[in-house]
Amino acid sequence: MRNLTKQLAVTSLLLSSTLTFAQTDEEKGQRLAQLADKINSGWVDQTVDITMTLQNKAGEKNIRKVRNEALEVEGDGDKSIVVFDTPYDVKGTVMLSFSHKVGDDDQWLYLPALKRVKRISSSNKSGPFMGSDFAYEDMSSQEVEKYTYRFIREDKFKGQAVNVVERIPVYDNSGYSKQLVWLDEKRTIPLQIEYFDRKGSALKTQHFKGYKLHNQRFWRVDDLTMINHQKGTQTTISFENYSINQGVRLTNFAQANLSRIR
Amino acid sequence: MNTENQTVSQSSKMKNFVGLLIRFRYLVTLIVIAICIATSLGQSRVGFSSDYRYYFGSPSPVIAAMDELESDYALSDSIYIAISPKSGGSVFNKAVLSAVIHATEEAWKIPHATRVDSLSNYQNTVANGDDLTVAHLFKSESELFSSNIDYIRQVALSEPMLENRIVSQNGEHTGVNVVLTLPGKSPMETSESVTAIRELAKLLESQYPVEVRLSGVHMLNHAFAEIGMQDIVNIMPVMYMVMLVILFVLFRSVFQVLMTVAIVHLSTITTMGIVGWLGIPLTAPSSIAPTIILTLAVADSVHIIMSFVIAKRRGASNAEAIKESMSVNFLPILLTSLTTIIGFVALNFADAPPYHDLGNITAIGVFIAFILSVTLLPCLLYILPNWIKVKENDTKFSDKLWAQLSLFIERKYKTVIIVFSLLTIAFAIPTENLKLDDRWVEYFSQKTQFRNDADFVQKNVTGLYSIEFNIQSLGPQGISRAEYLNTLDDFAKYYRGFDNVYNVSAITDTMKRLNKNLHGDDPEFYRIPEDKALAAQYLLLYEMSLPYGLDLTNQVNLDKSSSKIVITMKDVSTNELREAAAKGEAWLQTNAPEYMQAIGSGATVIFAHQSEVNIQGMVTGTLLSLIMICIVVFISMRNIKYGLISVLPNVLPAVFAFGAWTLLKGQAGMEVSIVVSATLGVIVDNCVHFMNKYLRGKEVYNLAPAEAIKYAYQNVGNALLFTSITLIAGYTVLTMSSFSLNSSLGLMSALTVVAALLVINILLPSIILFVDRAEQRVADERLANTPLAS
Repeated sequence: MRNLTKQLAVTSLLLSSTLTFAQTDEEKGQRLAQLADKINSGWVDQTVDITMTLQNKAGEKNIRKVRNEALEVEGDGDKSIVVFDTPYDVKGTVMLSFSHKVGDDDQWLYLPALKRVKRISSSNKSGPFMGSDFAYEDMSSQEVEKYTYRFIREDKFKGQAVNVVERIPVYDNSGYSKQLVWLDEKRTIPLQIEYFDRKGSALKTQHFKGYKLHNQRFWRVDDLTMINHQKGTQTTISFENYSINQGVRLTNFAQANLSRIR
Repeated sequence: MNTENQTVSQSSKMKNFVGLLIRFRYLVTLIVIAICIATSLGQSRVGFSSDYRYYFGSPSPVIAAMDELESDYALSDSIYIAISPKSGGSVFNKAVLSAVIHATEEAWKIPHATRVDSLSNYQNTVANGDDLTVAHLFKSESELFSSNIDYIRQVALSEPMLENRIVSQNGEHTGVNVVLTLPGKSPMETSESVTAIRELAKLLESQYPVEVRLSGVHMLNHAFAEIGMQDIVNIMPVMYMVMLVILFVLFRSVFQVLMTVAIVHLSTITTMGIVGWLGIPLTAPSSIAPTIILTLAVADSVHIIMSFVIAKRRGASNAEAIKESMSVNFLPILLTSLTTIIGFVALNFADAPPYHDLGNITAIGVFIAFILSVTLLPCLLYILPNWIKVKENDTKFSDKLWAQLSLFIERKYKTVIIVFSLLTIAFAIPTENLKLDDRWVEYFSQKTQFRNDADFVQKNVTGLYSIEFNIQSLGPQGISRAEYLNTLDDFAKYYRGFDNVYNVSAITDTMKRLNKNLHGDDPEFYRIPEDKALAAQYLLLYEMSLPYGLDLTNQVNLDKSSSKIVITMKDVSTNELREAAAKGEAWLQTNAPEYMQAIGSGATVIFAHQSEVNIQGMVTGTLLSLIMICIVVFISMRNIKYGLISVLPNVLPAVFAFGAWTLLKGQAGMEVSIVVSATLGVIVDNCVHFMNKYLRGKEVYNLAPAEAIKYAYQNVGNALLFTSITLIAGYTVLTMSSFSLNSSLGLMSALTVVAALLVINILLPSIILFVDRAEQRVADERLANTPLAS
């Protein structure tokens, strides 16, 4: 009898403590996003080689290769350089972008055939990147401030415990009404993202494959696959030769110097 | 005589069969009705197809080209929301442009919408030194102040991509083009989108001073399915009413009318049940099958009941009357069902599967009507009461009429033949001028909303029909080559020179614009870039700055080895559309390098080719069915002479009907290809019944030709008259359809049956008398030589 009373007392204590820390689904979603962001910060700079394989409805494939250099920026979105290697006609084209937590990104493009750097002012982050199933907004730096969040449920994904979080783009010109992110419970890294178009229909699913730990603390994938359910197309991005926090040339990240990047 | 013996043995077999039927009448009635009702449950599975691809027939280069277009590029079939100011005038004012913003935003939410193009989301590119801005032409109402509206007008009316596609040349109408990508998983997909678009249209009209009209290939598509459904709902009840009235006049007996209705109704629902079980989707053409079955099925019952009544009047018992009716009618009914079935099965020679369905469904219906008429009907005749009185003499008005007619024919058969010969020539001459051509929009009557909207949009804003070319280059990235781009640009210019072309949309205009933009908006540079790498880099830059859904995948393929050029036509006929496509193909052959050769395709072009292929197929089909029907008639008559006689009345009515049609309308479309098949069997019916009775009169009752003609008139005249009237009425009811293919088919078939009625009742007996005139002379002499006393 006394045992039971004791148990009850403990239970109620526990209950009240959870109540104190109780959070809404929105808060929990926000907290998970912040956690994911925190875990992935401090990489300073990164270079990686990227191969994009585009596949159309008929299953025909087409390959594009680019190199990426990125620079982490405290308090704002990251800076990034993309150098295009193939197709041959666009070889040497360089894109520099400064992403921002709010508002439009700054973007410059060096066109070797024109031998000029052009500043591209566009609020369109939602179009396809190089004709692929990835939109620019899927690939640019994922700042916490770009979405509002809501925790949906705990679940299992391919045998791993996950938190499913819904995020709604703050950005007006986004192509999406919402996204669902399957976040690995232990590592707080995304395993899958579902994208919903403006009418709320399932549009694309992104799969993250082959996570490896770099520099003992950063999880990086080997492959990203984006499947477009409406068009029947898909794109796989393969990453090779990650180099994190090894130092990049800071001067590369300036529009005036784009023509010198090879 | 051999034939005599066979007839006797056949009729004794028939008597045994009818005896069995009468003995087990309740069981037979129960089983037959139970089977019919069980089968008819399949009706709930009958669905309407709104996929225009279902109309595509056998593989052809145009269809292959369309398949390629569909796999290489984002789809382009759309719904077009045309927006015009309510009070007329320019669309360039705040209220109308606000409606455009609203429509554009909401259009993205339409089910299955994957791309939305409008004035508002037109990606305007502006250069300012080395800055390039890519942005919506306008995005919010706050941008709609007067100086900016002037700018919007200036951009909108000078951009070749928009002209007569998104905005009319005079700036008085604009449109939002909503591309749908249907997953193809449910037949309801089109109607989901259409319902949502219609709601949006209503909303826009209630909130802004605008008039909204809906057009586009998907609306056309939906209208086809919608009209098929309406036809069933609107026409079937009228058809039943008309049938009831005619039957009542004929029988003047509630039970006999009910019996006929029961047979006809069971035939129809059983057939539609089978359609459901077989999973044949209904379409606008096949939706008239139930009405046709209803019409055709009446004939069998009328013949059996009429012979029954005639026998009863002579004082026969019920069982005897049924036995007599069945032995007189079984063979002709079997024969006519067979010929009707052959006629309809011949529709399988058409290229479009919906016509195969129409033919096959009707053939099934005719078969079932035959089975029911020789099983269920005799039972019902026995079970249900009748009050037919014995009548000795020809007292009925119609009998006198037939007697007079036979007297007239006997005297004037030569004159009749001459008159009909002249008439044939008179009607055959104009058929030469019958133009085979059609316009889809005109398939729909002016009573339909779709027709009104589509007509308006075609007249004022943009076209519904388009030709699409998939133009290859020399390999991956090849579309950036100057030779390719320059040739493509010349090709676009060639089509822009056509009077009946609204818009030509090609990647070259984007190229030229980008070249200008990236040279600081210098108009000098509004031309194709000479350097291949430069062109490729422009595209890369441009693609990267386009928003969601407005990418270039509808124009450029995956590895940039080919691009699509779309020519939007004004209101053209199928012939004009085919011609325009052929001209483009010829232009490419003379002016473009080998690798750029292409075939003009697209949904509407395929349809245009199809009506031609359909007509060709049906000519073959009709000839074949004619031959088969003649063979059947020959076999059944076992007499070459009478078989040959029967051929003529089968062909003439079609000549008369086509002649009359040419004089009335001058132009016909796909419907003409099926009218002969739809009526041939029916006409043969009448002919066979008449010949059969004539021969029976001669062989069984040993009558002289003129007497045998009179016998045929008296025994089958009323039945033929009434079945013809039923058919004429039935086909006339079809003219109520808002779908011109169905209403024209109805009118033409009705004309054909009218002609057939005259030919069979007047010309056929005259020809018979002419052919048998020697026999008649012998009989006349014998009569003259016979002493009056005996």
